[in-house]
Amino acid sequence: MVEFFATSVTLMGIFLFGTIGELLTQKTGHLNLGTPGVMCLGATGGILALTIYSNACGGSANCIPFLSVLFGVIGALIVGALGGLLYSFFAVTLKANQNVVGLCLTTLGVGIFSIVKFEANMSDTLNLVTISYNAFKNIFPTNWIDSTGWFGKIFLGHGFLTYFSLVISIVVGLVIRKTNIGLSIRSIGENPGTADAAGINVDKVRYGATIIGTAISGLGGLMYCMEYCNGTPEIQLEAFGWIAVALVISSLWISELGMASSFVFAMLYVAPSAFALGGSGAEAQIFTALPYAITIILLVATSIINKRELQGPASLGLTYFREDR
Amino acid sequence: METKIKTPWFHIARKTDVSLKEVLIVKFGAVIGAFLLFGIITTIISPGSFGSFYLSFIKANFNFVSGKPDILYKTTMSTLYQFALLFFAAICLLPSFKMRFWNLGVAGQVSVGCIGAFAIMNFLSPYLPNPVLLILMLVAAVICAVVWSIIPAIFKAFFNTNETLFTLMMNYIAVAILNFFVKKWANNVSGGISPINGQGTTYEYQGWFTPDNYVNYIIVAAVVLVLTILVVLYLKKTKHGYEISVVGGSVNTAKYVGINVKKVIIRTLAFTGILAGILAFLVVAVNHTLSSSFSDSGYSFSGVLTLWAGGANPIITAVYSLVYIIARQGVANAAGDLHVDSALKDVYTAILFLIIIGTEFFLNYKILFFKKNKIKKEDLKKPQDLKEIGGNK
Repeated sequence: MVEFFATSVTLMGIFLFGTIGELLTQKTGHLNLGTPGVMCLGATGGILALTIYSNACGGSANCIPFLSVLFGVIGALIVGALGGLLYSFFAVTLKANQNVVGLCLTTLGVGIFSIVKFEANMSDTLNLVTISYNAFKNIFPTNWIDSTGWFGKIFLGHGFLTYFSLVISIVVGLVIRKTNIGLSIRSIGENPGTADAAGINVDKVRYGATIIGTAISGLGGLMYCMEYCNGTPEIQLEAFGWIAVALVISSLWISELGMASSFVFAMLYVAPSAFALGGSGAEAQIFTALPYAITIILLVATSIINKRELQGPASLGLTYFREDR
Repeated sequence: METKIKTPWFHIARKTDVSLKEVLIVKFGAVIGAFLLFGIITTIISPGSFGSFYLSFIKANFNFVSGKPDILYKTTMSTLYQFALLFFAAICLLPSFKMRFWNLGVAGQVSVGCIGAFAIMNFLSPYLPNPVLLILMLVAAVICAVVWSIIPAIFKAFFNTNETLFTLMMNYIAVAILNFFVKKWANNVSGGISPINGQGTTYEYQGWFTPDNYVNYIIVAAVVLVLTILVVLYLKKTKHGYEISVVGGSVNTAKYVGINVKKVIIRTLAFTGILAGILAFLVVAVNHTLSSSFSDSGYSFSGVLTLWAGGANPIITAVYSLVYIIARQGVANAAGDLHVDSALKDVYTAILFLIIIGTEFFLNYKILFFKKNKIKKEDLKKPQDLKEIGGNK
């Protein structure tokens, strides 16, 4: 049971990074269906950075764990942000349809990750991922974890990315609700025409929010490689990306709610294997649909209630062109 | 006193009329440019492979270089089949696309249809003659797919629920249900042909069009051709098609002229469901198994991309679908020679689409450069001079 909750907390971090990144992007009216691709790009960035660092040191054994984690994070942020830059260039500058660009980005990201994963499996990089994982798997002292019993095992025995994801979601929530930039982001999401008339540079804010958002989502991919798989990544990551897209709806576009809904979805994801639900395996397949089914129920419920506070940005998915007003 | 007035370098305006020549140059230029780029990227990955890279497109799609007619026949038929599947996935989307209903759920609709068709094949094969079995498979596939496609439509019609996300989520539920039945029926082989059973029995070819799969490929392509013509006629020549285009143009206009928008949305998605059901039936009747292969192939999303890139024109969509299949199969083949993971095909096809979609910009918009002016501050006092600050030159 304790292990079940502990795994759920790790998975929550991955979902949360993806969700917060997508949420920030969606707040400006960009329905980025490229999040699965972006998370894969983040993982790619992490692996590439570690490979470069490992080669520079002349083998994973000579690397310093702190630096390797740092480089991994930087790599994930940069390559994730590049995904956002690509998306924004097509969706904002070239005014292409957001759904189409998002689907392309997903295909691209998943493809690149598959190739890099294939190469990385044959190299020394994965050793380095494992070394960095082991160095940072507990940021709290071991005696704390032991002395606090189940609480420590569930909530304290994680790498720093888990706690970082919580911090990020609070920070993003504060920025969106309390700052001027947040006001610009929200007003663009509701009506870019009005925001433009009020003197907000729509393109600039959309670029900025999307790039920062995708960088955050990219960390989810890195965390998947480092903490969840412990160095042996599988292609599951794409499914996690779609769950992150679903989670934005489930958290009603409120980043703090994202923490709770990410945890619930993580438990739903882990439950079938943890408790051997469905026995032989056939019934277990049905449980994998639960996160998506819950998302649909919430989507329908919010549209039936039809309250503005519960729904996404009004201009979500629409390309803005000033002369179309 | 001289002050610099900040004027933008350029400004973007919508193009109103584009000549056919311009369209062809941009669209074909994008495809040729993308293929050249693939060659260049590949040469960077693996120097000296420029020629063999392009040869692999021929080898994978229309292999006439082997000098053996049967290999040419087999590769061409496989390409034709893959093309037909992708193209028909795009055509399934056409009615909802014309209505501006973002149906990203063809993978789910086809998956559910496959369950229906396969259930009939699995349990009734020993008891029915093949034509009856095939018809029942078709009916079952269509019913299942229609149910799956009208669920989001009903919620869209009555509550304006976001269809993009709804249909997307429905895909994963459908695949979960499909995997459930794959595991369920694979364990229970008593009922008839199952994914692991059926070979060597008296009903081995029950539920197949013909025992020769290459002939089946031609049948699929012919069915797709006929259905495409019917869909285009439905959209262009019938009252239903007209209503779809009005709803797609403006829901308010449709309401004003007395069209029942709710009915049109549900009816159109039911029609999409029928097409997806037929596609599911074709997949099962040719693959003879139940698997998530259609959903895994990504043709659902690629269909969206080809249809969008083709501007909902069936002929351009067909060309793009063919280009996509040639690129995908060719790169998958080349990836083996380059010792790169076969996911290279996803990377290259994504680049292909990005280039195609990016260049659409030049068909829809024009860039007008401003002439840089330096204006004296005193001159700005007269309001009529403000006109001279920037102009379209």
